[in-house]
Amino acid sequence: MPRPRVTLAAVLVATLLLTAGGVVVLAAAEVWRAGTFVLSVRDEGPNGARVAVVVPGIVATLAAVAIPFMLPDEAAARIRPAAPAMRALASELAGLPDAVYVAVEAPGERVLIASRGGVLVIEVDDGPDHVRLAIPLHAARRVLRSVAFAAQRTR
Amino acid sequence: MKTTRRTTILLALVLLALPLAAFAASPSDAGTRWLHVRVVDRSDDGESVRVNLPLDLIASILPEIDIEPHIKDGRVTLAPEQGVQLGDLRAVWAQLRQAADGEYVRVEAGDGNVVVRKAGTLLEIDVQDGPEGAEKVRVRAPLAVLDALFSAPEGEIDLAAAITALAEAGIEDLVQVEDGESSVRIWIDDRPEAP
Repeated sequence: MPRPRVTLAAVLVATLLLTAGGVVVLAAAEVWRAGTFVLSVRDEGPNGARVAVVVPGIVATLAAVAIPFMLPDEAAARIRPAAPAMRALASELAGLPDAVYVAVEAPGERVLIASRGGVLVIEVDDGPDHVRLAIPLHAARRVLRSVAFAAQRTR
Repeated sequence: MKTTRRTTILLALVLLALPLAAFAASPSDAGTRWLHVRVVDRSDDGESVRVNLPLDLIASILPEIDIEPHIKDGRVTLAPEQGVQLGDLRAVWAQLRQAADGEYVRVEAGDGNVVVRKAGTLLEIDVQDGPEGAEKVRVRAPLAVLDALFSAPEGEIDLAAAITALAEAGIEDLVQVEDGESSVRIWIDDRPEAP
């Protein structure tokens, strides 16, 4: 076999291996990128309680697939007018940089909506009640798109 | 033979670079303009509000909001019964737009005064009121933004077009209000507020 053909064949094999490796890396990255949902509710009152829920973000990806089959017709009809805006928001979510988007502070009260490391963070402090919600942006994007699709479908 | 080998090596390099380039590609937020709003109430139980939104985000979502009969396609419908005579405003704006730069309104009464002037690409409004002018309002509105706002059909203002024009306007400070105990500032720049 002439040398150029051998070189080309070797490069083709290397390219195939790189692509296959890339796909595996992307799949792993997808699981990592999906991150985790965190919901924490804390009540510091006399009968205070604390609840924290941590769910792998990949669950949201799977849920996004199921939403079009599970969303009741009545809910779909209610959401339908907002579906185009949800779809537009979903498109923009992925590109959101880390930033504070809304912050309201008053004595004993605080609301924060921010993005940190690809995670949308919502924090609400109202007196003794504290709520923290962390949603990976990629997962939120998938869910938004799926809900918008489900709302606009016709049965 | 030399040319064939060179072509093969070049092709090999391109083939190797393709998947790497595909995996390395990532979205960029360079050049994004941010709309900032700050409201600070310095009274004892005062609250502060900070809103920071990319203009691109607002421009993308506004046209998709459909709240009949008030907001559709990025345009807001203002009925006369809501107290806004949009036709009159549009007529005043059309006249002002054609006019040369200069001061068009100056009201000086007691301890307050109002000045409205057209200067270059801006409509400037300055209001001072109260003892020693303690209450101040300063508005700098790019003419292109007002053009876009009034470009909607009769009875409507085009908010989406105004946001797009705002993103292109080379201006930072839009509105500043100061009344001693509280302040409001609305401005645009290229920087998000770090979390």
